[in-house]
Amino acid sequence: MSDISSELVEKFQNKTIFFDEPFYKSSDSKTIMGEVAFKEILFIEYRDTEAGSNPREYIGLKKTNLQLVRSLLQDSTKMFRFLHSGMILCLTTDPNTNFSTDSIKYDECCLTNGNQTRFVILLIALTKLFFAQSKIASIRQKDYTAFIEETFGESEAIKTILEHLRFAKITEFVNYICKDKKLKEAFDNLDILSFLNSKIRVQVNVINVVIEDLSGNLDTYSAGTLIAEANNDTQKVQPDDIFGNKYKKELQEYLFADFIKLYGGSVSIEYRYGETKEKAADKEHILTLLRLVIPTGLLTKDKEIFKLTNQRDPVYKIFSKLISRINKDNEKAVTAAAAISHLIPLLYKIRTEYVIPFLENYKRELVRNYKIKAFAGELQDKVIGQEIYEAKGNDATIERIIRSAVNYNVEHIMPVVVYRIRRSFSETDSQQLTLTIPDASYAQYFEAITQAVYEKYVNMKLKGLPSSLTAVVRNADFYEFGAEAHTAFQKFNKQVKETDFIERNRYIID
Amino acid sequence: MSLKTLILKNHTQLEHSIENIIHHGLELIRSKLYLLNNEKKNLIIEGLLLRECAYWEKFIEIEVVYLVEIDQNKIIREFDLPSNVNLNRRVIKAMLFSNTYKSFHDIERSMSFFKTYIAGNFNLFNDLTKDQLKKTLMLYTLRNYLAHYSEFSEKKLRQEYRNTYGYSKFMQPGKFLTKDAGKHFEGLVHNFSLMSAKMRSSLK
Repeated sequence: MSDISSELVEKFQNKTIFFDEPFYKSSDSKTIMGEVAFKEILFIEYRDTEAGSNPREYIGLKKTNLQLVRSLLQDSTKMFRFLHSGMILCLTTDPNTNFSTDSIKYDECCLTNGNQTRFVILLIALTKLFFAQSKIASIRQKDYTAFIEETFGESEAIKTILEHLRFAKITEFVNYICKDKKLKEAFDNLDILSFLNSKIRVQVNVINVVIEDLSGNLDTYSAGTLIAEANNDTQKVQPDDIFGNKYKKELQEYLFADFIKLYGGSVSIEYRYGETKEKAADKEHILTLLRLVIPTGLLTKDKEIFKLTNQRDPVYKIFSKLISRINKDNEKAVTAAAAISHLIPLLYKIRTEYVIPFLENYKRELVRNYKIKAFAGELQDKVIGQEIYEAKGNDATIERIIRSAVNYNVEHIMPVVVYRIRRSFSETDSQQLTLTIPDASYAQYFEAITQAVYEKYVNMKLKGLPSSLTAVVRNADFYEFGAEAHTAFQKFNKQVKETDFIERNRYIID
Repeated sequence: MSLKTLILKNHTQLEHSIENIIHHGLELIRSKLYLLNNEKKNLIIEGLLLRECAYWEKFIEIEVVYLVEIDQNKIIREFDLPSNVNLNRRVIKAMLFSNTYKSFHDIERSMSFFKTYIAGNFNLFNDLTKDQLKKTLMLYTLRNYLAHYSEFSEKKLRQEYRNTYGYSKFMQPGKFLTKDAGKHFEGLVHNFSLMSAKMRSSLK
């Protein structure tokens, strides 16, 4: 097995795709079609290459992928290539020097379409290599990690692809095979060499040649990504991945510029889920940062703010429009983007240093308080009253019921906090954004506001919601939850002035 | 002030002081102050635990007197007093404690005492759950170890760690209490509040 692994590592390092037979090449060298062995496509990159970026991640053993597993295990050598429509690759290369009749050497290559198939093939190949001559059985993470390190440790590029194939997906696959007698038998009897030499049809777009004839500023990355997005359009691709994939450059340059300056060394931005390998505490997804801006009303009318609570697609749509106008040099859009860039690090600081820690601590306190009420029989008139009664004093059960009642979604509470401070932003002489609330009072202020919102949020849940929680948090009334605390704070801190920062920079996106 | 009100006040005072202790304890555990290293945190948290046990013991002592006073039939019968006698609180206290120290923190052990002197309807200790009593036992094992540092108390604590949490390794109480962001400290100390809440629910 080690020979096979070494061959795979070497093959990928050589950046060359070998075809089984001479391939078809169009006269303009833009299109190539042919058949390649599975081993040729195992580790091709699919994200953020110079030849484009595929927005579609491996989705696990869903319906189509399960069919792929069955099809591949039943007959990968004879029938599979006729049952499968093939893959699309985009690559950059010099056709004059890097083409032979049956191989292409490339500089950058992106697996534009067929990523699910590739990952299923990779899953089968990896697990087969892992179990070697042994029969498939449950697998321990420690052993799997050691195997990957030992087998592919020398190739960073391969390890990058393998990092996108989380261990949970490996166990999902192994468990699926193990519980099906026929599949298990097929897997145990699979000949890894024949499997890796099984064929699949590929279309190759030589993307640097493709863009030569195009007018406009389409670079290889954009053209490759355009092809990837068009080919995956009918598939279930996360809107997050499409947005992050498409606008990474603009986000970095305009909207996250200040954030990167301030937090670049400690927090990495995740433009696509699972993109960065840092611990959750050391990375933030783009949506978390973009959502912070919505309740300020900088890009939307006030009445639209409420409806956008915890939304995903509409938020991306707003920012897509903003970015496209920035790209058209719309002056107001550029000004708004600069304001957003100032706002994001400040709002992020409020979220991570004040709101989230307070919510976490206060949640513990609420759990304690409500447990006391439960044991004292004081929750009978609440929606959880019956459940508490049926728990018959069982501490663990009562705690579970209470925890679920006091649980919160920070994306419900944070917008209300931001909404409260939307008229308190001010710029310092050095163009730094700050609040009119004195620095020393930040903790006190955000504690008061967050507590007021959270308490009412929980009370509302315990009384019984008039409709779904989502509908309630998207209602204007919900945004009034912190109003009293804010007014009280203003009364005691006369220097807390209202500003027109948002009005001055407002750019409404319809 | 009626006796029921006094009893409820005794409960709310205890619950309030427990919440304060938990609040301070968790704040301490979370603190990132340079001067507060883990060793210092452990020592302080152990101190808070001892203080909490003292609050609990004081609470029980007051509670027992009130509960005997609210329905005096049993104590009168036990001391063979005329049935029409009305004992005041100080006399009841003297009769129950004499001039000796009595500790009721181990509720299970004290049950027969409570049964002897507290009328059935007012014996609020009857409603405490097994789980609550078990947690008190764990807490007092920690407390005894802290108070004595004897071989015997260490052995008992080691046993409790193993039986209750499956910990095979011995830990100093401070380390155990601050573990997992103070989960054990919060759970064990808060148990007193839950016992208090359970007891007062029976008073209504």
